[in-house]
Amino acid sequence: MFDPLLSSLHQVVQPNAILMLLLGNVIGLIFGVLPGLGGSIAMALLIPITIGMNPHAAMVLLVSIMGGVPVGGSISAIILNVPGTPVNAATCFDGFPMTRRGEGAKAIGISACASGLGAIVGVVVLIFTIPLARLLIFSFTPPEFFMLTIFGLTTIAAVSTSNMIKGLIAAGAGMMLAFFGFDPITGTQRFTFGISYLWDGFILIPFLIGIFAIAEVINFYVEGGSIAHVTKIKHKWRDVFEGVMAVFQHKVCFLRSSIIGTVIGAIPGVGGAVANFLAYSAAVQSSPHPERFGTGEIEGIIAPEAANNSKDGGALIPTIAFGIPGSAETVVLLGGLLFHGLVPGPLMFKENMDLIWTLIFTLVFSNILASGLAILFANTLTRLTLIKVHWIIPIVLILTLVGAYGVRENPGDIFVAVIFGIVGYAMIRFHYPRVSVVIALVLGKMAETSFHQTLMISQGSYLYFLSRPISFILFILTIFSLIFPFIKKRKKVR
Amino acid sequence: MRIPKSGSFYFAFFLLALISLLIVIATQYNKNAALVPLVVGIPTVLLVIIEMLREQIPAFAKFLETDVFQTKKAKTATGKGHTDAKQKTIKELKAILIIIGFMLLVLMTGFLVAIPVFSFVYIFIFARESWYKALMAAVSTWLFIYAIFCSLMNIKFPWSFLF
Repeated sequence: MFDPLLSSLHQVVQPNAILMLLLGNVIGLIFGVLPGLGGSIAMALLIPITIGMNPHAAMVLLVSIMGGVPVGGSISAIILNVPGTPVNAATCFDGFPMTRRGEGAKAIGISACASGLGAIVGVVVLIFTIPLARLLIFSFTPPEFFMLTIFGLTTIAAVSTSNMIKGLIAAGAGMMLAFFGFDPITGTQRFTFGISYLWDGFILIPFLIGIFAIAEVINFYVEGGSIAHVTKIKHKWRDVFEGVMAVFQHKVCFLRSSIIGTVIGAIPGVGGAVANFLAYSAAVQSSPHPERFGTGEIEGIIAPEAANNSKDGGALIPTIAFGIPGSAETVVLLGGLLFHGLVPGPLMFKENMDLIWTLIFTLVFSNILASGLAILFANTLTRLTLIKVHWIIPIVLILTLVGAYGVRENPGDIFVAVIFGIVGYAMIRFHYPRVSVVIALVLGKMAETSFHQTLMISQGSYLYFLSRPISFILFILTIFSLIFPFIKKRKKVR
Repeated sequence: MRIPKSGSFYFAFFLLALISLLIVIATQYNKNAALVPLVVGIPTVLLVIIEMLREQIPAFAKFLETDVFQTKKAKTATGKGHTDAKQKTIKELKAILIIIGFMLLVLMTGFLVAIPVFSFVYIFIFARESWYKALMAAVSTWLFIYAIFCSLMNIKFPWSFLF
């Protein structure tokens, strides 16, 4: 049992492996910061470079990218309101308002600490659940997915505290946008208006770039000054340290979000974007102050960041155990494993256990390293928020449009980013919560698909949604999360 | 009946028109494809109508100020606020035109020409910085984008209407 563990630890601490870890981490951070790029692209680019490397070194390089990307993405989400990757979208909601208050360093401290520790939780869960992986993965079927998405959508009510009607309108509009393109069940083309671009529906990255980044560019131009709404930021390590400690002070939120991330990561086909929104939803639902979310609430950063890093540990479970990738990055990792003649599955546990430990150690070390780098440079990065916005606007605008185009090299993505940028600004201006529209778009398609799939399985019986234990528990949680705020309010009034 | 002046009303009207159009189109699909869009779309349209009425009829807005809807009172601009609002609208239109202008420049000339031109023009004209600072910014932005996206990522930027 301990031989492969010690052997892989020995491999990971070799100078060559440490160099790979550093290189992969820095590449991951850069690809994470830049919108439109992501872990899967960086890993795909580096696979050919690993020809001739031993499998351990190659895996260290690839997995260390996975550790760097979400941390990099959180930095641009916090500093510029530009989610580097879709898994950082929910971080914008509370990270950027903190930056505007001059608390960017603290926000980075929170995000880095939650990311690093979240990854460790994910890996610990990975180690202990490998024997139970099959049970966990196969217990999620369409009714569970449907209830999971409905539970996620209930956040909309919680985040729309200033105007529930506008929150629900934004959610309805987001859901309608999710229905554009091919209907996954009947194959009908919906709302395509004869435009071939719309056959696939709205692609998440250009949409997010528009609704967050370009909308913010308009806001920068209108407001002027600098990103932070303060004239001076005290660059004290205390702020960063406060952010780090905040994660320990909100340990329940952190642990809950990490577990959500790991479970969602382990389920193939759901993706990190869903994980961070569901963790955010759970944080809002269980907070005594849901109205503070979206204004720079600490738990609003802890939840998505813990979830999006712990999901990597979860995503490795089906990848290693069955050869079924749990996320976009693990699809490429699977390709990397096959490229080096390693076939994931039960046999791998017998023949290459040391390599599995290498993957696990690298994931932990790379996350700790990426978080450490983010903490180290937090104060320097925060200085960027004092630069006059007229320097920031052209750079952000160029990066976002190039990023939107770079995802698929499709000019249509530039139009989509600009259109949703204008719509996003209108939403800021007229107080429609952008959180609602994004959550609804991310979860809408999955809700519809799993709804129809459940009805097909049950031959039209709606009771089937409640007949399975996990979906029933999720249903009860959904009802509870909708009723709880009113009960709480009543109690307060009394 | 007075003509509404608030941008919020017109944004709500835009949403009403868009979602209504989608509902009308959805009715032409088969039952399975139309079900969820109609279930979501129809209540959304009703909510948009409620929001538009809330903005226009103060008594209705007061009626909705309950625990369930949690709507805030609408603010109206007067005096100096009105002038500020006008200036803000002009700035917003300018920002939108700049973004659309950059997008058109990209479509006409391609990214590799549009990036330095836009950086230079924006920083020199709109930000009123010196020409050499604008030139430095334009060159460094172009180099950064070229190094990361073209050399490293191998993303192709060749298409444009002019070149």
